Amino acid sequence: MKRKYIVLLILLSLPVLDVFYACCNCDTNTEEKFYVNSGFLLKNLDNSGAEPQETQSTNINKKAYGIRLTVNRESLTFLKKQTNQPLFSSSAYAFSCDCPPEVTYDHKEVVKDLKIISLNDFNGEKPANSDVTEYFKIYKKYSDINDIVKYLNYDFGYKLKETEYFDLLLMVPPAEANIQHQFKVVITFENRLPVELLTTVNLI
Amino acid sequence: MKNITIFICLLFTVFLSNRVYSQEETSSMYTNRFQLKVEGGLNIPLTNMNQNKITDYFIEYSSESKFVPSLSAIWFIRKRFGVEADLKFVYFNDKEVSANKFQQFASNEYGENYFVKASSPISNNFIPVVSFGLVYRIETEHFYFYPKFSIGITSFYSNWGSIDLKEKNTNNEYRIGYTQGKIAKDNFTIIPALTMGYKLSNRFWVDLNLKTSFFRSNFTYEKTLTNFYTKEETLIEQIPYKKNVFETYVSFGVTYVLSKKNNYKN
Repeated sequence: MKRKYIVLLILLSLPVLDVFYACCNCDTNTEEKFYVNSGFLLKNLDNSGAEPQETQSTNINKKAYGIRLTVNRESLTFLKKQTNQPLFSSSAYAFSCDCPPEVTYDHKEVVKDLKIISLNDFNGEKPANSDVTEYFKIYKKYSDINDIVKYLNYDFGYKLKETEYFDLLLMVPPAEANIQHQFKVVITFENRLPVELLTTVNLI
Repeated sequence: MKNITIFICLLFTVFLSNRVYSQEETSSMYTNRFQLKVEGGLNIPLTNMNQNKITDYFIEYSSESKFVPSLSAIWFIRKRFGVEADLKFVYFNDKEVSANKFQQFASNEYGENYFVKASSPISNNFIPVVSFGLVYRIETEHFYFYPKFSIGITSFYSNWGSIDLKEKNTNNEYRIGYTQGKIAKDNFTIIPALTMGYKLSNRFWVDLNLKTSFFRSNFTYEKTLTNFYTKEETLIEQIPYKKNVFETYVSFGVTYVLSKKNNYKN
């Protein structure tokens, strides 16, 4: 007899638990969209002033040189819709519980790597076609170039950042004798062909 | 005109009521038991904790003379002795001046070779200072004299500060940081004081107050240089703030006598 009461109590408490769950259930139709990094652009930077500035000049101070990598992103068509529905009761929306964003933009392509190649002799250690990625740092944190890979694979909530740029500052100037330089930025993807971008400059 | 009439009537009522009350009393000496007081006066720093360094601007404690209000309550537990609780409203409103001086100092010091940006979360602040103490009382029919001794807490914030330096014509960037190695927010304070006044009526008294407060600041700023590229951080200097701070508070107060008692034990 006593066991029957316990079972009955548990059964009755289930909808009550569901009410609590519903109170804290965001229960929104979350849209999961996807995006691709659709366009890349390189420009030379002159950082002689307070902040890096894009420049058309072919001659730039070698101690204040940088490259601006502009990324354009494109949203793809709507792909997934998720709906959460409580078992017994509908959502009460009594209070908020850190609900996820209603729309998310996840990266479709996976960027694997980003490298900067000097097509000319850079210094004694780096002849033509050497990888000089380590000589560049990302403005303004002065972090390694590889951190850009994280930003290119970033999943956005609410809104897609359609255009973003990264300033890559050359922290080790080239040897005195070398003035003419060409830098090639190579972005490697997991599931598509790599993107190669080129910029030319005289570092004086 | 109407307001003046009301004010005169109010004053008349207050004084008349007190006269009526005083006729019932034989003496006003040592009869009051509980007093409330409102004060206002000049807080004059006699010494300050400043080290004549840039870090002086980060400390939200005014080293200038300022008008400061305060509230206090005294409860006489014996004929001669009472206890007092005091609330002083100290404030710091030099945010703009401090921030400008900091930027100016940084520009003068480093502006020749660097683009300079100085920042610190200096803000105008309002800090109530609470103190508790003992009161000894000496009274005549019309005058009173209270020597007091209180202890309390003086609080203030010592902020961090930083100067971002972008070297001209290069990609190099540095940061000079000022952080507290040891933070001291609350400082134990000793406050000897004197109150002397005149009994305007049985209920309302006016007085002159002289309070001297003392505390010792005890914290240290560390000046560091960080190279953003190499991530190297170098300790350049330690700036200790270990000084005795004396202040004088000269104020005028109005006391209201809340309750009276005739049979105090000596």
